[in-house]
Amino acid sequence: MPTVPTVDRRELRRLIEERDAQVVDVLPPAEFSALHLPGAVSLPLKSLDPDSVAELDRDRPVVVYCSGHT
Amino acid sequence: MYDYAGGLEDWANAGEELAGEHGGGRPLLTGLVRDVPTLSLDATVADARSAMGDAAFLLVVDDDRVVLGKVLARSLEQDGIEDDAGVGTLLIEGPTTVRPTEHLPGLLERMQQARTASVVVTSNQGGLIGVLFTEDAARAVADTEHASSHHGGHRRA
Repeated sequence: MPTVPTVDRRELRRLIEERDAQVVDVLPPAEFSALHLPGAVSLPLKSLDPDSVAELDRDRPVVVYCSGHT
Repeated sequence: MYDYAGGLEDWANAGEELAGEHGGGRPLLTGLVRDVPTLSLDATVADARSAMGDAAFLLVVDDDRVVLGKVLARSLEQDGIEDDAGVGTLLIEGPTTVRPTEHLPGLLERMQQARTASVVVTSNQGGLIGVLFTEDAARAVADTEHASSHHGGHRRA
């Protein structure tokens, strides 16, 4: 199973600024409504399916994030 | 695809702007917290007396600024406390901590219910960011409510 590379805040900024990355918040909708990164779109982890992922632009990088609680 | 593993808390801890109903700019707590004196666990009571200044308490932190506990100013005034004793003898372990992404009005309500004068704000790794005082939180919430009602008034006029 392929692993997803992790990025730090600086790399995230670079991906947004240089490659117009799409930032995806996978938290539940209520949490997204309360607080999210500027420009992020909401694709809650529990409702991820081919249809929801199809909304993303395949030609641009996608960066997912959650709360950061580990 | 990439994973921004630090997530929302890493972003907020860095003071970056946030969006959403509780965002609307920089994280609420980041701009409100105050610095308090800190010491390492190998400090002495004499060090604590010297560092305390006018503060009501100081925090004892490790090398990564993870909060180990607090020492109250009034505990330094007890009889029989030797200057060369370790600060750990006066340590109150495990103070309540919150993250800078907390919703301020809800946090203020909890602080007032608990009748606490302050709460320690840390990153999700436990690193000290600062201390939020109830009076500062109350003032910020009141200012926000005042601004909202003021703007609301204009909309209704």
